[in-house]
Amino acid sequence: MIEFRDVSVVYANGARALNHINLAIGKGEFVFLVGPTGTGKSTLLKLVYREVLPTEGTVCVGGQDITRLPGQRVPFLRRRIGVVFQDFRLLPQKTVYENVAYALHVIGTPYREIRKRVGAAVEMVGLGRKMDAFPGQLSGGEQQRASIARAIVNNPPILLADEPTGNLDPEMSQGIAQLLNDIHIRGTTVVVASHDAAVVNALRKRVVVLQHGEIIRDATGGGYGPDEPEIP
Amino acid sequence: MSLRYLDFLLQETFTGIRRNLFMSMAAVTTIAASLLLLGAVRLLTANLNILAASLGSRFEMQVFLRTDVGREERDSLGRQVSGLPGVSGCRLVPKEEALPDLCRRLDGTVDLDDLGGVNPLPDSFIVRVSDLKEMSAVAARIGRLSGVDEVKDTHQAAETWAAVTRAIQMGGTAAAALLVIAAAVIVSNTIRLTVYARRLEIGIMQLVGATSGSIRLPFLLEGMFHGFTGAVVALAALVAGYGYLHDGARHLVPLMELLPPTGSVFRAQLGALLAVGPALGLAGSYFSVRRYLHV
Repeated sequence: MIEFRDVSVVYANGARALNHINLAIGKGEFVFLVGPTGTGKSTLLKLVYREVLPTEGTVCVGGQDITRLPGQRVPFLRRRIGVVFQDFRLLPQKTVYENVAYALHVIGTPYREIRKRVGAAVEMVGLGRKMDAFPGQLSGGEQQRASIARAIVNNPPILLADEPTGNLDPEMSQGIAQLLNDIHIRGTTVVVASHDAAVVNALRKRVVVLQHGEIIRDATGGGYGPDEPEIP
Repeated sequence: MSLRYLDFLLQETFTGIRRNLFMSMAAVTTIAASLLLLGAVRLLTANLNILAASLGSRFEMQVFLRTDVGREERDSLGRQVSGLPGVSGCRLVPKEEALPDLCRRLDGTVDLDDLGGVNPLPDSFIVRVSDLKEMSAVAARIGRLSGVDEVKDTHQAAETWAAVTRAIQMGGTAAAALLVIAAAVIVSNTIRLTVYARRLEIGIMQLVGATSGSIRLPFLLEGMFHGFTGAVVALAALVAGYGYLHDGARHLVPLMELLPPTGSVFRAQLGALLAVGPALGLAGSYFSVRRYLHV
């Protein structure tokens, strides 16, 4: 589903974010990208939705080399990928329903379809009773659920989450981890960048450990933390 | 593009306008001011041209005959004038033609019936010279002929008038052009602020796969809306202002020929301003969208 072939990213300021990364993520897999801050986890996700282009190597999504994708095709790539961030990125003046619907409005989805899909997505994340609430009236966990609903409302085959529990307390974090797992069970390929050991260890999925822009461990059913071996 | 999507785009456009209401008003006001000046210059120039035409051609003079001159004497005078050196043409304007012509040019403000059937105008000749340098000499020779009451040598006035018209037209157009540029800059700045205020929405739109065209369109529509509103305000001010000034000028100089403040005169302005206004808004917003909206 997602494949990185000998990918390196060097930013304009000379910082090397990724160094000769080779990684394949299969269809329907759940993968945690873990490692301390600044190891290239976010850059790896940005490569998938083409926010960043590699300096070297190729990135394939759904069998297509997206590094050669013309600029005007990028929006259509992004319609197949849902993205969730640590800071939720919800529009404060719109309700939960409107925030989720916004993702469909901007790509020209018909109103009837929007009503149907938004309702389903909001129910799926457990916010059915808070559709008319504004983000400011929700807890952090609920805001992240709304942002996940927005990411999955278009039924994308891939869901990327960049530190989705970074702003949440442990209890809420577990809830979000469970929600991501539920989405994965429905058949979505899920890639989560996190350094929240409790979340990673609770799900026991494939764990890819990054350090200084390189993969130092890739273990199925792995964990993360001081007890885990650093080298495979 | 479906109607509902258009509805969504318009909602986005008006959200942008509401967010920056103060700057939007500044943009509309500047556009209105520049278009008002542009329209005023156009109307002024059109009126000056009418006045210039009423002054006569630079190569012509008007020769008024005394009212006691009879038909035969008039014809003989015509032959004499035609035979003078330097005269290239001489056309008779009988008083029977002159009166309805004057009434028509004054746009019905003088009623023929009010004159009680008496025509106060004299017969006249329009005399054409081939060389402007000969004008004064020819005028003097005609003035000495018996039966001639007055020679109106208008070429000097016509020349001065044409120069004044040109100066006003050029100065006014330059001032309007400067204001138009200022208006485009203000629209551009307004759109830049809207882009900044809506960066979160723009980021989300990019993330969920909105095309760059559909991200840019609300900003371009916003610029065009400013331009259109400015043009409507300018037109309203022009219609009201011109009607007021026209009446004032008529009161001051009753026989002055001016464009009447009627629909046909304003329709010409309507087309021009409604084309220039939105184009101006579009140009300003396009610049900002290109410069500040990286999609």
